Amino acid sequence: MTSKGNSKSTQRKIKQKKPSTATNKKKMVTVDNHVKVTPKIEKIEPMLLKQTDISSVKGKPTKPLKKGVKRKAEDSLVDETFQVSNAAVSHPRISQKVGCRHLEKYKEHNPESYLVNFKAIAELSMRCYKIGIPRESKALRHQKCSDCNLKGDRLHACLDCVFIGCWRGESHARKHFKNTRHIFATDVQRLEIFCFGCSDYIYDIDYDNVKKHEEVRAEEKESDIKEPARKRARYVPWKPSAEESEKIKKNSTPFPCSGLRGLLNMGATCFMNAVLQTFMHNPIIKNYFMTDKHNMNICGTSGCMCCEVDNLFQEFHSGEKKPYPPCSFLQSMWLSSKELAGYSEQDAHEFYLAAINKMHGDSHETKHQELNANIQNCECIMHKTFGGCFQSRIKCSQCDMSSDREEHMVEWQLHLRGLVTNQKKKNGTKASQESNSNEMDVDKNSLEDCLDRYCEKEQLPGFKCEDCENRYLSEGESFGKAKGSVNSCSRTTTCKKLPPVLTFVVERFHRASTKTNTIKNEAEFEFPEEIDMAKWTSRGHDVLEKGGTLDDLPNYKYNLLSVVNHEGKINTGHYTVYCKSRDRWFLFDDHAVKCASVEEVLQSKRKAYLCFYVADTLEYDQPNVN
Amino acid sequence: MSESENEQKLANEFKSRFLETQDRNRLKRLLAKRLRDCGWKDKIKKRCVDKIRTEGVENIKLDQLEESILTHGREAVPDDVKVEILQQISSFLDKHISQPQLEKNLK
Ligand SMILES: [Zn+2]
Ligand SMILES: [Zn+2]
Ligand SMILES: [Zn+2]
Ligand SMILES: [Zn+2]
Ligand SMILES: [Zn+2]
Ligand SMILES: [Zn+2]
Ligand SMILES: [Zn+2]
Repeated sequence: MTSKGNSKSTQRKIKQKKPSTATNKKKMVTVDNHVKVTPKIEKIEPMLLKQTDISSVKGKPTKPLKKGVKRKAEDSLVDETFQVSNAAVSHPRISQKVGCRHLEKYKEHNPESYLVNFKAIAELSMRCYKIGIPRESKALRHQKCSDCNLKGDRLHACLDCVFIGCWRGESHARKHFKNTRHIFATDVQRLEIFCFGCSDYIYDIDYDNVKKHEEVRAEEKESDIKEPARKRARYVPWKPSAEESEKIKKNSTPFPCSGLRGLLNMGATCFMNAVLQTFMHNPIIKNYFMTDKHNMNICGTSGCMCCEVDNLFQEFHSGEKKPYPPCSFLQSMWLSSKELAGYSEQDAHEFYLAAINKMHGDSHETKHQELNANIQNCECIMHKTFGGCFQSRIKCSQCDMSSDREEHMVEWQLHLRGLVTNQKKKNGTKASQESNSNEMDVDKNSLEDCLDRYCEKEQLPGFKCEDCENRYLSEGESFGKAKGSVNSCSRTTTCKKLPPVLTFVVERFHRASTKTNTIKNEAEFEFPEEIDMAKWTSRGHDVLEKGGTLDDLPNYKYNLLSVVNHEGKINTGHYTVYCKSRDRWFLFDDHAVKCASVEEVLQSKRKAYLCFYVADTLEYDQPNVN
Repeated sequence: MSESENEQKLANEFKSRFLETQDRNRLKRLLAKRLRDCGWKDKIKKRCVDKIRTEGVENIKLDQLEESILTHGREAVPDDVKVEILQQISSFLDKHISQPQLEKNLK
């Protein structure tokens, strides 16, 4: 591994003899769901204990471990309540960051005080509902609607004033919002926050932290009452003082970057290595395997590709630096799949699709129905990560006919306009951009342009509108329009459901007809580091069509995650990949791993083949705040 | 006073009494337990998750989710649970609304 030092310097291993009290140490171990709860834990744990991580992790109150019980990551999420806003992303640690634009503004306007009321409500709520014992709070247990005195379920407290309102139907909570424009209310019992602007419960990490904090306090109080003899220690969030962090730095040895490892080329397997690296640095896939959702020791099916990926994660986080030879991966790929065997195509895109299908087949979460049946709801890790849904709407301009069709997607194919080929001339001088006759027409091919074109209205010549035809048949000439309304229909394709990780495939390999050879298009494809997808969603498209603005839509921002590049000619070319890991960019070229900059990544306009973007609303790695 | 108005009045009376006592909470807890035990809760939850996943999390709001699940949810409650809860309610009625009161109300 040729990864350079600058990431090392921040990553320090804390020696076991090191700091503080035993309680502190114990807490550190509970910190993160990234930690795989297997023997691997010893190997990974140190990387979590970077100094920067400690502070961020410490600030976040976690439930203390119950005696000897492994705290399952999911338990913290799946509560008694339906966590509606999180249900679709049923993964631990992954949650909506700023799903609500109203809350974003609210925080801006009340930077000091936005949590104050909520904290008070949470404290009260814990006393009313969580701690069953103290009689003194009996009065509090009978909270009721300020307007109608209704007690009981789903009371919501306003976050701006002292109002508590009932919930069902045209409730007083809603009325309060209409009268005062106090936009947020929290369920008094469940402490979920409702936004009247979004008409939905929203999630926010700050409020969630307050809630967790109060839960810990409540548990402490409860055990004080139940077992006064035990003297339960108070949970205190720990932030190292200057002195302490100095000590940690001095007594720690830097721990090499974890999770970064080159993959040996097993004979023109760079296409596979490139795609595997994107999987390895995909936060959702990483979380899945790092939390032991598919354990190779438990599954043990031979030829199971999920097991092979699990194995890769173990190898990547073993601390070993030598490039890893993915022999067994390759072997099980050959044995198990005709599509992948022979890999004659050597195409990263094909491999990406084949890997999804294979892992879908091997996953335990897959509903074993016929393939393609109800794939939209498939719970395998690959479809949960990459699966979205297009909507194509056919509309007739003469009548009101409009019909929608949904189509499952795991990739978004982007067509490049114009053809630029790069060939060597006989005399050996490199001809730059020797292109076909349309060179003048070479359009700008940015990701945004390509998406605009993808979602453009497209006329459907020759497509008969059945409604028009039926009306013509029944109403005859009086319908007015000639029977031949063949050209009245158009189709618009938009994205109905964006997946957590969006895969864009740039159509670089071009085959004019079956007789000609495939040629590679090296036209420039510009892609941004961040993109707001709102415009190309079905919802956004509808809003814009009606003349509205995208401001009230949910957050559809995506961030660049990795880019698979194809360099050189079509058959002799070579694949490399840029991946973002813990907020830093790396270039993976088979066995070699190098640091990279985001500028460098964005410069690979002529090579970019697959671009992966991850939803901004997903919260995964703690960012490295230096 | 018409029949239906009387009924309405009685229902209101019943409602407020029901709310005043702890019986409502007790019944609610009982119902929640029964629904959990018979697997109703898991089934409904599964349906909600499926619905959200099909629609896309940004595209569905709480009201819509509730609406889409409500009818099915009611139908899916097992009969014996319904019977048990109804019995509990009627015994509550017997206990709290005594005959003379009833007559008084109906006058
Ligand atoms: Zn009310
Ligand atoms: Zn208010
Ligand atoms: Zn909102
Ligand atoms: Zn397996
Ligand atoms: Zn699947
Ligand atoms: Zn028509
Ligand atoms: Zn290669």
